[in-house]
Amino acid sequence: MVKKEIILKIYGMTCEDCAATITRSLNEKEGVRVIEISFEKEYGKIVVDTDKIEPEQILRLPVFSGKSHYRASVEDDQK
Amino acid sequence: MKDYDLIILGGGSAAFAAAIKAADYRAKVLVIESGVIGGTCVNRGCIPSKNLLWAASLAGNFASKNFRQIKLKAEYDMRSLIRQKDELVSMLRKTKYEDLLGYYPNIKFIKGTGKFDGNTVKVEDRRYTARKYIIATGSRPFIPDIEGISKINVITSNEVLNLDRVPESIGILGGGYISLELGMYLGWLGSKVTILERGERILKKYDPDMSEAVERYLEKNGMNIIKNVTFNAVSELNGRKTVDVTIKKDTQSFTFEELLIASGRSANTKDIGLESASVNINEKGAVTTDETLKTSNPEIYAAGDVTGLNMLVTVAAKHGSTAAENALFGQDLKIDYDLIPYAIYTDPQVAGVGLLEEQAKKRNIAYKVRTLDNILVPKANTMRHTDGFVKMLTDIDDHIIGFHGFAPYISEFVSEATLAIKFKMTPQDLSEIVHPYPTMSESLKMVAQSFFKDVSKLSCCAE
Repeated sequence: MVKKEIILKIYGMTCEDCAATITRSLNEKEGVRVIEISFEKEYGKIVVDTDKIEPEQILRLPVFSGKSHYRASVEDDQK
Repeated sequence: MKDYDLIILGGGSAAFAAAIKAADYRAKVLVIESGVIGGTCVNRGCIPSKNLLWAASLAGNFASKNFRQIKLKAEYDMRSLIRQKDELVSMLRKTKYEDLLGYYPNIKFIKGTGKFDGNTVKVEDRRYTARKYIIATGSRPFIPDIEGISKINVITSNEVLNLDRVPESIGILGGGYISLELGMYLGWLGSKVTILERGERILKKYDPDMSEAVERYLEKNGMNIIKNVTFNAVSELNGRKTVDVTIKKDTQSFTFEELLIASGRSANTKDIGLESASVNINEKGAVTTDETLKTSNPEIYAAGDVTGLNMLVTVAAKHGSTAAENALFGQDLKIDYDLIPYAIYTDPQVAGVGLLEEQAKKRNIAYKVRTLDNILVPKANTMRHTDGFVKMLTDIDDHIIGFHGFAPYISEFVSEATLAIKFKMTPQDLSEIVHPYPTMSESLKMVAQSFFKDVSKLSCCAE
């Protein structure tokens, strides 16, 4: 099991509830654990198990794609 | 820390679609436009050309022989016609582009020439950085290399829309959709129009039966179409332009009051620092991308005409939003070009969506095809406008995979075929849908019925 901490820039949040929605959605995904999602700082810190999910796949989860109000990108120094 | 999330070079429809998509998620965007805001479509393309075509078609229809019982003669004031076109362009440029900037505080627009310097963009002495970049600098009319062409006054699709007098004669180099639309525009107003085409047929991107039907109709209505032309030289004397050509080994000369170059469009890729950013271009000068619109530099994407892919404003806008999603938000979206409809605003119009027969053959797709002549469509008869046809292609599973035609108003109902293709409908499905009667849209239902019935033996609206 390889765990990796990832810093995300999160786009589209308008209130604290958005941060809670994203936290709940990410925690439901196997191999993803949320450390912090901050509406104020528009960022998120998560830990992923890279045996189960690649960091780039996080950006294409339903909460960050399609009709979702939110999008994310991996912070540059995390690539 | 980067200055912006996204920097976009260009300020047309691809650029705005990208900027709006990014701003929808509160990303910080910089749009850099060197010319007039709004790009080709609103300023020099779809909007002014369709406005003038519509106006001229009124004159054309007055003179039409469809109803011999009505005789009308059109009178028009070209200066005033061009002025109303300019007013329309200004209004739509304002409401569709300029005013939008006020609705999206996250989009900053600056006027200037943006140029890549490595993975940064310079506008004059100021340098800007972003997480990602999109090139959306558009295209311009292509001027072919013909002896003498740089020494004479030719016009392109840009200038023809500002002609405030009708030339007695005009030669048009090229037989694509721009040529046919503009030829029809000036023909309706009274010019003697000659189209000079290098290839064996006009509209060569479409199926041969389409080329033949359109050519036959245009010639019947007074346009002179000359094919298999090799251009040797052009010259000008006392304001009249002469084109020296070879046609099947015979040399000939044609002289016109105006010479319009409609030989396609070139991507605007010069002087924007693409080499410095390691962005590759192809032999035609267009930016090369993968299916996600990513260029050879993974930080830089391209959208719209600058990619050289299917230069339509609809594609440009789709490119823009797709490039923004992929570049900035790590998505992997690809565009299904088979679902992009096209329309050519001659009268009758040419329009379609999905696979052409030629494309189906190239892709080794087994297909069935049915063609319906407009003479069988009641609405065409009521208008006494029965030239043309529509045709439909299905695959071996009976799904509709293509619909194309040369018919009045076809651009207004081609979207129904887009839905049919997207949702894998069969001709049987379409034939069960009630269409308003009489309309040209009924031709879509009738051509679907023709897969399993002889439509000439059906009463009105019968299934």
